[in-house]
Amino acid sequence: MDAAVSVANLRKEFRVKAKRRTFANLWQRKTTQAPSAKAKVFSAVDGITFQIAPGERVAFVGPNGAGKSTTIKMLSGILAPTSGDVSVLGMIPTSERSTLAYSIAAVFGQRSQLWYHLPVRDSWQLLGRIYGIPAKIHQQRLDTLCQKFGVGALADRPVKQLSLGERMRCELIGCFLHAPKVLFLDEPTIGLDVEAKGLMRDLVKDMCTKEGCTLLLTSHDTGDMESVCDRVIIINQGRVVFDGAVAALRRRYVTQKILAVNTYDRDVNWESVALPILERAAHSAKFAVDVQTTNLQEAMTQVLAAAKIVDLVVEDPPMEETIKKIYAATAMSTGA
Amino acid sequence: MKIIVARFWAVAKQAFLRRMSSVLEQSGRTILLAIILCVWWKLWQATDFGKFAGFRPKDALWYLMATEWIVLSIPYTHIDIEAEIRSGDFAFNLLRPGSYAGYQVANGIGLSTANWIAIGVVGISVTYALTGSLPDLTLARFASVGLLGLLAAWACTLVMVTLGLLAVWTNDATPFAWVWQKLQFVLGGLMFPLSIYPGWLKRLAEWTPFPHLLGNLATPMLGSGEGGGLLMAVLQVGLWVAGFSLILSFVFQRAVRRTLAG
Repeated sequence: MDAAVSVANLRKEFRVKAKRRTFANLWQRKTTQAPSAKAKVFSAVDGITFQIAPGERVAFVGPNGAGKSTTIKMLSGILAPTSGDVSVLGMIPTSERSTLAYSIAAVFGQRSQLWYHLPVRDSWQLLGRIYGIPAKIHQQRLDTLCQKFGVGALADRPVKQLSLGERMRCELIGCFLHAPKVLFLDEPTIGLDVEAKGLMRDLVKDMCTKEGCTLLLTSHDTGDMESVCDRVIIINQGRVVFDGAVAALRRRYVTQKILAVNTYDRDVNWESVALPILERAAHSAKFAVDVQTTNLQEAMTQVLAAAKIVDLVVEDPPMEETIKKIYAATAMSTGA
Repeated sequence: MKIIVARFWAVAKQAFLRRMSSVLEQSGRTILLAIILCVWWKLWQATDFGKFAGFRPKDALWYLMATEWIVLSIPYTHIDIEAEIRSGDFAFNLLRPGSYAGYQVANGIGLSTANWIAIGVVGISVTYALTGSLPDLTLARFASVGLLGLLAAWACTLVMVTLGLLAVWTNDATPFAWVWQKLQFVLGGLMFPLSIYPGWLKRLAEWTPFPHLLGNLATPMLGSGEGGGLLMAVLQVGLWVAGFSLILSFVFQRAVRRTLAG
């Protein structure tokens, strides 16, 4: 099966001028050195390669400045790569942007595709016309999406009067109106509260699954990755440092388990337990177990022997910690 | 083709309805026009301008109304485009099917049409109230002045979109628009008809689009057969529309290329 998104050795460099052009330094440049000597080249994306199959939900994770948004811009056709190949649904995004626009959708967390002063319903109506959706189909689809996303009365309010969470739900409806085959979401949950984040994740996952829509989601929030996606691509300093299933990421990088215990006694002397204590409180404690050096069963035996245990849970460390480790490892290997 | 027309029609219609419903904005424009007309009417009466320029004050006021009708109908689309370029929304709007420049022109046409209706109603009423009579024109010719004015405002919308796109290079389109407007006022004959200009300035002005999109269209208001033929006026406006469209298309393509390069 042909890939929905295909990227090969993609590179994007930006030229950063060291000095602003003023009359004074124009003269200086003319008399002292060549203009190019002042420009610095910065690689935002440095030769990444990956493919995404139709219907796959992929998280694109990385720290600030890793190259996530730059990659999404190149995939959606609003930024031209310096070199390398990009193909989305068999089309080259920058040169076939107008045709590709009918088959893709994008939400950039901080930006709105809806018209700020218009009631949301009018914005959707306008989007329907722009995408050339027949009126009857548009209305049916809009009714279905409004019901699913629970927007109801929101639709008659101007976009400027909506909260961020409400606006994001309306943005997503705008995205799904023309039934895109590929959806790019760039930090869709940024600034949302826990409840709104959860709702957004559920809606995106559900819609993509039902409609067979390929999803590429960038986020700082590993919760987005775990809740919505099956696969994760981790990018750091413009390079792919991990590409695989979310479960594989855990298997490969989670070398530590956390033993969380609730005790019968309020205060327990844990000196006999030869494990690092992460957290200690009345009736509870958390221990770190390095599974590469310590047998988990032995660790549990030690803990069980040290106190009267009410409850014992073996947890994975938060995904943020795992990702941070990967970032740190790549930074060390590149000497950054 | 049908989809393209429907798309731009929807954008223009939405802009038209939005502007028609924004009472405050329309009031601001029309009150400004009423003040301008009142001030100039009093000024011409006090200075006996008519005798000096060879026009009756009444005709000169109808001329001013016609030129202001065009100028005040032109939307400030360049400001919106400049803001979108500065915020980066310009690039994201390229994700929609169809041309961004086309949307901006359609939006500008919707806004200018709404402005034209409000300015026309108030301008004609106030000028009639001040002068006590209509210009010495047939109703059909009077209507043609108005409709050509609308076409000229649409042509100027193309310019405003082009000037707005220059912000891709300069980050600030306002100076260009400012220069355009001042040239339009002076060389277009906003206050006074070009016939009273010195010969050299008149000849210079005729080589620019300004009189064809402003003063020449209003001269029939001066009565006594002033102004060229209707067909010539339509042809001139049409040619400038074609020329501005080509320039806009060129500038837009360059702006997109520049934006895609990052």
